[in-house]
Amino acid sequence: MKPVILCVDDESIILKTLKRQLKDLYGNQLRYEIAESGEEAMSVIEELSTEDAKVMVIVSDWMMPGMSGATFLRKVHEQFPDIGLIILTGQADDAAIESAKRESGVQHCIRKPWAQEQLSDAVNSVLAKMNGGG
Amino acid sequence: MGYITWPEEKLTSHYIIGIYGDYDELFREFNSVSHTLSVHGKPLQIKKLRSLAQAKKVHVVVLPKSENLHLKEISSELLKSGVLLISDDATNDSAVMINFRYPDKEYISFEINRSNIIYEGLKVSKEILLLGGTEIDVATIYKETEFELKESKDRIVEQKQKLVSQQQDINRKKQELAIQKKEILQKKNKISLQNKQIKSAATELELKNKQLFKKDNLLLEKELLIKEKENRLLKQTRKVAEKEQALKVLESNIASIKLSLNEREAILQRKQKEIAVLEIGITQNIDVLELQKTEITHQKLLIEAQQARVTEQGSKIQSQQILLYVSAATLIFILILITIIYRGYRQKQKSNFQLEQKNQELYDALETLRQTQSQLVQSEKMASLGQLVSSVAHEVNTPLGAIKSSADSILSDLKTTLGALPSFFDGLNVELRSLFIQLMERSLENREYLSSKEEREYRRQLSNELEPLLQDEADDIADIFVDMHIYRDVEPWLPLLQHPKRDAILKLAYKLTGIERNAAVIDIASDKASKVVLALKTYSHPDQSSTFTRVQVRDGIETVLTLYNNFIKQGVEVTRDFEELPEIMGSEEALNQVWTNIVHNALQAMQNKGQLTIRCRKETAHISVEFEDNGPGIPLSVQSRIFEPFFTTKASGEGTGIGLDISQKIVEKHAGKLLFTSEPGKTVFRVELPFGE
Repeated sequence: MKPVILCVDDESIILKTLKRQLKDLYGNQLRYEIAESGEEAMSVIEELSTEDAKVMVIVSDWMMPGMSGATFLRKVHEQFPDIGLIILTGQADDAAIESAKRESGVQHCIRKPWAQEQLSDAVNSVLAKMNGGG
Repeated sequence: MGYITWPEEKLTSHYIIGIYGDYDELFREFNSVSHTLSVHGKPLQIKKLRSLAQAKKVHVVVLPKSENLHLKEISSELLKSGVLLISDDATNDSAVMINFRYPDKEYISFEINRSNIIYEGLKVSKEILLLGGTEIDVATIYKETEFELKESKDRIVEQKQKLVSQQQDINRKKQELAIQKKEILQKKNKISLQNKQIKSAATELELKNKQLFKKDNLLLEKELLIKEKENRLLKQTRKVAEKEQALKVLESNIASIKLSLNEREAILQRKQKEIAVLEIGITQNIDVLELQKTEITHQKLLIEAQQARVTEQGSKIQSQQILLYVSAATLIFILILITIIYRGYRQKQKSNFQLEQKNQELYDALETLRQTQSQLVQSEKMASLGQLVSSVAHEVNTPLGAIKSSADSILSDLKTTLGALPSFFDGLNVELRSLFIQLMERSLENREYLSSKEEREYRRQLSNELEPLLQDEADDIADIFVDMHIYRDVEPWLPLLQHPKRDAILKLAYKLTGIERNAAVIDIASDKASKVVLALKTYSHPDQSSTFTRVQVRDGIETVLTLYNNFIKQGVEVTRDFEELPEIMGSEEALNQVWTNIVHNALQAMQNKGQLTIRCRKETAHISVEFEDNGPGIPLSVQSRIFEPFFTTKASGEGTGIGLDISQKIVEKHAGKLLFTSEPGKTVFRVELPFGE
């Protein structure tokens, strides 16, 4: 099964943009999933694991209604420590991002607005880490 | 023997045959025959051999049957000594050289062990067998020898193993011994410990004995004292007794004197004449008697006094004892009192010191408070502005991100698709071309906006539909259709899906329609961004707060809600219960500050999770705006103080405490009222503003 990349953001325009950019970059190598909240994302991950599909990378917004980005990423890291985590944020709260990197295993932080290269760099390095045995 | 040749035999003058053992008969028989025989032309000599050393010197050794047990030893001893060994019915084929055998009782046969004979350096000719003997099969001998070797090796191995196991036993027993020695040591230590303990107990006992002894002595001394006093008492009672006796004596004297008096009275009666003289004498005697009486009473008194003194002393002793006890008790009591008083004194000193310290701290705190008061007015505004800025930044950056990447995508996709178009259409026939165009039209006309969950559902359905035709690729193709907003009824495009160039066709359709999708995203995102900017502009518009204009408060409330959207979307359900409101006269900026302050407080109280209900009502003389939240409420103890300047329940740095004060002043300027009620789970802030004309 192809590895899955999951995008999480409460704004659908961001989700559509991310999916289009990632598809442009990786084509058929990956499978693309989107979710509009932390809770939806968790259920997507669980659904996929029953289908035997493996979520490899998650790109998630920081501020979301309901389950916040911080909580969501922490939960994912606890239950699925193998998944590479990237934050996408419109706020520059350095302290919170630092702590997310430390405690929730977040590997990259992309600031909105972002260029496609930033996205590809981050995702590539996360994928490389996984294939290289982390 | 004629068939055997010995080495060096040319040098010998005669051959010697040795008979091993003390076998006289055999010896005599041999001897008797030897004279008649000769070997290789030389005579024979027969000898008796008593030792192996002798045997080595002869040419032939004859081993009688009874010596067969020693055959192996003898043959190994005689190795390389050039001696021919003749044995009689020996069983050990490997050790013999010429061995007589008796296959049955009729005749004698013999065996030759050629290899042994040759080993000795003797040559044996083949004609010997003509005499009727057999050669011993060397191979079997060899095998037997090997077998014996193996057996002895096995035995050796066995014995070695036995040795090893015995050594292990010995080691084990040594270890056990060592362990037992340790145990013995431990027990010895325990015993010595206990001895020490006993000794220390004994010394303790001694000490206690000594103490007891001392106490005994004290007791003895006291007994002695008591005895002394008893003795004194005894003496005094004896004195009393003596005096009683003296008294008795005196009493008897008195009795005798009375008798004599009676006699004298009788004489008086006889001698009345001498009465006057005798009367004098009698009166004189009476005087004397009286004197003596007084003496007696005096002495009685003395005795009584002495008795009284004795009882006195007894009671004195008692009272002294009581005094002793009392004084001891009072002494202890005084000691306790002293320690209590001393401790109390020390504590008093301590608490005094602490009080002084606290005083100083309070004074310092008061000073710092006074200093910071002056800074607070400015930071209140900055604080709320600062929070808004980060929220606004996020609100603006999100659409900007979408716009930028969509714009980038349009530019790059245009390049790739326009370039590919001419050759693409050449490759397709007319039917397929029109199908392609229809596909794109269908994609562009579909305006359904679905949630990600709904999209996922459609994709799954489509993938299942396409699986029979496309197998593994069904998922990817379904994804492309869904991205192009085509969620069902894909049969018309099947010819395209089965074309060999399917991937290129779909990619082109996807990118061309994608330009439109990107443009739509830019449209939506810029709307969002401009909304946020407008809200910010409205908020900070440098209206003179004293100029009153026509104000629609609903707009102001919406502006504030937009600005706080970032916090609200973390979990606050906002319910707008708005009636039609007329415009009122007021300052938009100032009123916005009031809504900001109230909404800010409500969101903070609920920690951005809960329900916020805003009600706008037109009433007879004024409009009312109510903000209700379901946070924990304002405690009764502070409700009277929330409008006080600088009063806040928030932690230092989170709020200046002058928000509500300012709000109240603004509302007052508008001739309105700012009221609130609060209980846990329901807090309502109510602003009443007159229409104003």
